[in-house]
Amino acid sequence: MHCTEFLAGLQTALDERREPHTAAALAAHAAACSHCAEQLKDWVELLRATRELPSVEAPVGLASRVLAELGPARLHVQPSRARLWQYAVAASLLLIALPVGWMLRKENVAKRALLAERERPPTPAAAPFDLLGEAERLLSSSWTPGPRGAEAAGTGDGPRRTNWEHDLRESFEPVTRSTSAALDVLWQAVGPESEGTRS
Amino acid sequence: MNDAAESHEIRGLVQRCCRGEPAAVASFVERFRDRVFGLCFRLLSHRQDAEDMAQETFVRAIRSLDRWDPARALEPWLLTIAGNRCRTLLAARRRRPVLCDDADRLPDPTPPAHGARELAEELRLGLEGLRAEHREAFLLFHDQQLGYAEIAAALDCPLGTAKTWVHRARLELAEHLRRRRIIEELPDALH
Repeated sequence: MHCTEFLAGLQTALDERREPHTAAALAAHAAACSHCAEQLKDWVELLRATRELPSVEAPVGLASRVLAELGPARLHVQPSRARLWQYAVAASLLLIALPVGWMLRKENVAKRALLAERERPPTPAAAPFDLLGEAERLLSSSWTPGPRGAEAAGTGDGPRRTNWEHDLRESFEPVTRSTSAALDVLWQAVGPESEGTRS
Repeated sequence: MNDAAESHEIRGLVQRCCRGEPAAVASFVERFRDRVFGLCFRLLSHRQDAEDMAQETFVRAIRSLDRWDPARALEPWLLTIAGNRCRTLLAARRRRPVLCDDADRLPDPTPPAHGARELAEELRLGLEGLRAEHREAFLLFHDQQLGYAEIAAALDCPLGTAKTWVHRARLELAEHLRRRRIIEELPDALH
């Protein structure tokens, strides 16, 4: 073994956390080379000194100090950058869903108005308006609404009119659907289920 | 406890810390305090500063626990934060030297046996004379028992650089101890 090989062997022994003087090849070379024997002595002493470094015990109150500095309000972990991205995406979806839903609703209302117009029976030829007769008819009859939805479906006996509650619900259905989908995405991003899956 | 069970337990502890449970935070600190404080103390050689940096390390770590990758070991990550805090303080000390209270510099609460004490003190002095990154690399390898890959991750450097720093630290420390031995042997030679 050459001196350079001896030095390399020393480093390898230290890297592998082995005692260099116990390696037979190193010990044999050191026995024949006074320079390398000195080096071996240095390294062995260094390892001994490292082991002699006394153990250090942390102060007992460290946990209390950490808790006090964090404080109850600040104990919760701040959202990471990835989590903030999730919030941003969810908010963007919500912003897109609302105008789209509004446009769909408008289109739905227009379609319904057009259909209602087409289904309306032709108006009879206008007769001269009998004001007194009309007033008498109104006073003598009391209008009662039919079952909900029946008139909208065209089966009611009363005057043809729009069931406003039914229409309103149908008109807003696209809005509620798209908003609900956006809220689902937002809930998945910030809801309690996501805590468990967070890294 | 085997490695899988231990890492499972640590993941559970981290999740509870993320939910803001004070008992979990206290357990977290108790579990790692000796390793973190030990590194801070060895790097700074000052008890009060080491306590402050250990505290700061835990506060920062707990606030950013959701950034920890569970696929990696937690301890090297914590020691990375501790090393960064200590390096920042050492840099501030260089810019603005302060007078240290000698009581704080008392090296060891549990001094080693007589004879070994001088050797350990000599090594401590040798460590103080090293470049900060060499000192940290040496302590992470020999004192904290981290592998080279973990040291490279902790010091944010290539694996080869981490090895080089540890080797250079060893060479300088061995040389330091050798000089000390020669000085000690001189009086004997003179007699």
